[in-house]
Amino acid sequence: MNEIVVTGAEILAACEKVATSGEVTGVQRTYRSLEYSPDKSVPGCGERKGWGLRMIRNGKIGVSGEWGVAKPFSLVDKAIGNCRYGGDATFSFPADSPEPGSAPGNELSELSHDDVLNYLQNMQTLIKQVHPSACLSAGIQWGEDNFIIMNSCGLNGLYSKTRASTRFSVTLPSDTGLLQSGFTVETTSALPVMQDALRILLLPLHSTRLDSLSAVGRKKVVFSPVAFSLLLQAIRTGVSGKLLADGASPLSRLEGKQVISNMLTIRDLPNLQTGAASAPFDSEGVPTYDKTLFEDGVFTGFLHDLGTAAECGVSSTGSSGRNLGEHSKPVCTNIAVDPSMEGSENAIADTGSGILVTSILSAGGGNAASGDFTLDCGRVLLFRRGEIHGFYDGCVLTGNVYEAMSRVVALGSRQFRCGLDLLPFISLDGISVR
Amino acid sequence: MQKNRALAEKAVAGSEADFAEIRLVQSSRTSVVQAGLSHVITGPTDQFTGTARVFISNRWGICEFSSPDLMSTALDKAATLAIHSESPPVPFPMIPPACRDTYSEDAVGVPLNDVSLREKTFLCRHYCELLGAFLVTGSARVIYDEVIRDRVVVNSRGTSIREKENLGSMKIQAVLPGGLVAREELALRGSFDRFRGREKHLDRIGRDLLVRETTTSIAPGRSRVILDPELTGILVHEAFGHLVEADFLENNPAVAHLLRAGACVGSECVNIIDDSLLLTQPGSMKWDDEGTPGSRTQLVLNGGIASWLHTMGTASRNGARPTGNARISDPGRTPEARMTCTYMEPGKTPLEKLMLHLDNGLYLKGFMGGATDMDRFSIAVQEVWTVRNGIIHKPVAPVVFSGKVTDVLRSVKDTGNDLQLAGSLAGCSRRGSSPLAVTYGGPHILITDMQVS
Repeated sequence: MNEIVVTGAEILAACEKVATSGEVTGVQRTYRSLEYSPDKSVPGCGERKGWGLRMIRNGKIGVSGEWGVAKPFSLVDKAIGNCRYGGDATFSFPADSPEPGSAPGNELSELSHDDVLNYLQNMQTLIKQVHPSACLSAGIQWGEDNFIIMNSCGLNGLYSKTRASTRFSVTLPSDTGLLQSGFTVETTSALPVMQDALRILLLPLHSTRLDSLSAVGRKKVVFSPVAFSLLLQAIRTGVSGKLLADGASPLSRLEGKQVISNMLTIRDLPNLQTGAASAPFDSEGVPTYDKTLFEDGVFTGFLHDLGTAAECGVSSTGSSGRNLGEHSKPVCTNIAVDPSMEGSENAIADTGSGILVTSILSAGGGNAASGDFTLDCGRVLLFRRGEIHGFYDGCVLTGNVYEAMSRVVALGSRQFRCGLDLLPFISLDGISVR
Repeated sequence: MQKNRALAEKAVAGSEADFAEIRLVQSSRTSVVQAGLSHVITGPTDQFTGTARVFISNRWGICEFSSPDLMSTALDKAATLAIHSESPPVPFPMIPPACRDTYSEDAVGVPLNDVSLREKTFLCRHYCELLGAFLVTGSARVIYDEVIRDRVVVNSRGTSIREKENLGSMKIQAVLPGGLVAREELALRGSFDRFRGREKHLDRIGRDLLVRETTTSIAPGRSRVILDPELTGILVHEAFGHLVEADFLENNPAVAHLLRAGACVGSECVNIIDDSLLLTQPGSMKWDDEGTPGSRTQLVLNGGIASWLHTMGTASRNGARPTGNARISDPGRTPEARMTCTYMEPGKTPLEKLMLHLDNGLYLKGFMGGATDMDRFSIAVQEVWTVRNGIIHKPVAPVVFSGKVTDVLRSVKDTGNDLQLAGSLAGCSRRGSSPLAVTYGGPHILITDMQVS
C-alpha cells in the first residue's frame, strides 16, 4: 500500500506543476490462483499495480494511465496530450476526504492452494455423482486489492478488500451432443457456496432434445440468475446519468413513475459486505451508499458521477467507475433484485409451462440504451406443468426489457450470487421466441 | 525492452528448475470513440506485465510480476508453488529447439504509432459524418482501437525471442430506429494505410442499410443457404475451431475420440487451416507465448481431422508437436491452445455459379453476434437476402442460423474461389478470459441443410 501512496504523491506533484488541478488513483492487487481440471492443476500467485491520472488544464479534462512501472512525468505528458482532445471540465474535484475502509479478516485471507484444490475436487466428485462423465474445469483467483485516491483539493482516501473471482465450466458428452454449462462468481469473504454453484451449473445439463417448433411464438420465459444478469444490462445502462446527460435515456422524466412490474425492487448496493464491487467511496473519492433503483417497479432516480451530476444540475451519487486511464462514467456496482416472499426457488412451478433460459450466447442485436434486446440463447429448456422435458437449439428472444419486466409472472424465492449480482430466477410473460 | 530481455535471460539461466520461462509484455493502448458529434479519447495507457513459469518434478508453478526488478523473485515464487503443488504429475513439456531472434514490423507500411492522434480522431469523425448522412433518424458510431505491443519470451533451454506488434482496429456501426444494424470491423497488423480512403466503402454500407429496411420475416425452418466469407470464418472459428484446441479435448475424452485424426467432420470440399504466420493479420504471431515458432496447421483435410492445436504441454501429453498456438489472455495464466488466423480454404467456384447451385434459398451476410456451446453453435446474421432461381431477390429481416457443427460441415456442398479474411482485436474469449486478437475467414460456401430462425 505504501508504494502506491508514495508514487501517487509523486505523480500528483508532477501534475500540479502544469495543470489547474489533478487527481491520482492507484491500485495494487496481490493474489493467488489455481487453474483446475481433473488431471492437472497449476497454482499461481502474482502482483499487479497501476496508477491513473486525471487533470484539468485550460478548462479541459484529460486522462492517462499506467500499469506496472510508474513513470510520473510520462503519465503527466500523456494526460496533457489527452487534454487537447478532452471535453470541458464542468466540475471541480472534491476536497472532503472519505472515511478509509479495510477488509475484515475472513476466510479468503487464510485460504491456501490446497484448500482451493480440495474445494474443486469435492465439487468434481459431487458433479460426477449426478453425471459420471461430466468434467469440471475452473479458475479461481483470490487475494487483496488496495485502492488509493488523492487530488489537488486535499482529498485523500484509501481502502482495501479481499476478493475471489471464480469461473466454473462443466462439459458433459451425451447422445445429443456435448452439453456445457458455465458461470462466474465474484465474492469478498469466502469461496462460492458449493451447493448454490452446483444448482446453477447442473441446471442446463439435460440431454433430451425436443421439436423446435413447439417453442416458437409469445411464451412465458424463466430466466436463470445467469441469464437475468445479462437481461439487466439495459437497466444498468438506462439508469446511468451519462445517458440522461446525453439526452438518450428511456427513463428520462420517469422518476417517481411506475416503469416495471410492482413485483420488482432493484437495488444498487456498493456497501454490500459480500459484494465484490463494494467500496466505501467511488473512483472520484465520493462516498458511496446503497440505493434503490426501482422500488416496487417505481423508478427512483439516476446514478451520477461528478461530471454527469454537474451537467444535470444534481449531486453525485458516488457512482463513478472507470479503469485506470479512462474517463469516469456512472456505473452500477452490485445489483440485487429482491426475491419473492413465497413460491418456488426457480419460479418454474409458479409459471406452469414455458421455456427456461440458463445462458445467453450473445446479445449482439440489441440496443442497451432503448432497452430493445435480441438475445441469442442457443439452447433453452422447455418445461410443462413445472417439469423440465428437454432442450431445443437455436432460440432467439426479442423484445424490450422495460416492457418485458412489466409482465412478471413469478420471482424465485431466493437470491443466487452470479457475477457481481444477487439475483433470483424471474419468469416473464409474452416474450417473443423464435 | 532489450535490457529487460537480457535480465530475463540471466534470470532463467540461474534457475535450477527442470524448465523455467519468463514472458514480458510492454504494451500501449489508445482508443477513440466517435458517436455522432461527440468523441472520447482514452490513452495511451501503458502496461508492463511479466510472468514467470517453472516446471519442477512434473508440476508447474506460475507467478505474475509488475516490475523487471522482480524477475528472479518471481521465478523463486513459481518454483516454491510447483514444489508444494498437490496437482497430479504431468509429463515434461515438448520443448522445440532453441530459437534466438527478433521480429519487428516497423518497416512495413506506416506504423500505427507514427500517425498522429489528430489524424486518427479526424478519420473517425469524418467516417462517422459520412455514415450519419445516410441516417435521418438513426445513429452512427466509429471506434478506433490501437495496441502497440513488445513481447519477449525467454526460457532455460536457450530460447529468447522478441516480437513487436502494431495492432489496429476500426469498428463502424450504424443503427436504425427499428434495430436494423450495419456493423463492421477492420482489424489489421502493421500498417495504418488501410484505414485511410474508406469513403466509398462507407457509402456502400450506408446505401445497403437503407435498402435493407424491411419488416418481412421468414418462417423458421431448414433452408439451403450461402454464407459470405465473414460468416464462413465465424462458423470455422466459433463452431469448429474451439473443438480442436487440445487443452479442451484433454478434459473431454469422448469428444477427443470423435475428433481423432482421420475422423470425418465435413464434406470432401472442407479444408480448414490455422496459420499464425499471416503477419498482416491481427491474429498472427511469429512466435507463440511459449516461444514456439508460428506455423501453418492443417486442421481439416478433405473433411477429415488432420491435427489439433497444441501448446508444449498438450503436445507432450498427446504425442504431438507444438503447433505454435500457445496464447495467454491474461498475465499470470498458463498458456492455452488457441486459434490464431483460422480459415476455410477456397475452392474454384465463382459466386455466380454458387448462386445457381443454390437455386432457391437464402444468402446470409455479415456477422452480428453468436457463440458456441462447444459442438453446437448459434450465429446471428446482419443481412439476409432471398435467392430465387439463382438470383438475389429481396432483403428479409435478420435471422439466426444454428446447428451441430459436424452436421453443418457435412452439408457444405461447394466452396467459392473468393477467400477473404476478417478479424478483431478482441475477437475471442474463452472460459471468462480476456479476449484475444484473432483472424478468421474463408470463401462463400453453399450449405444445403441449415436451421434458420
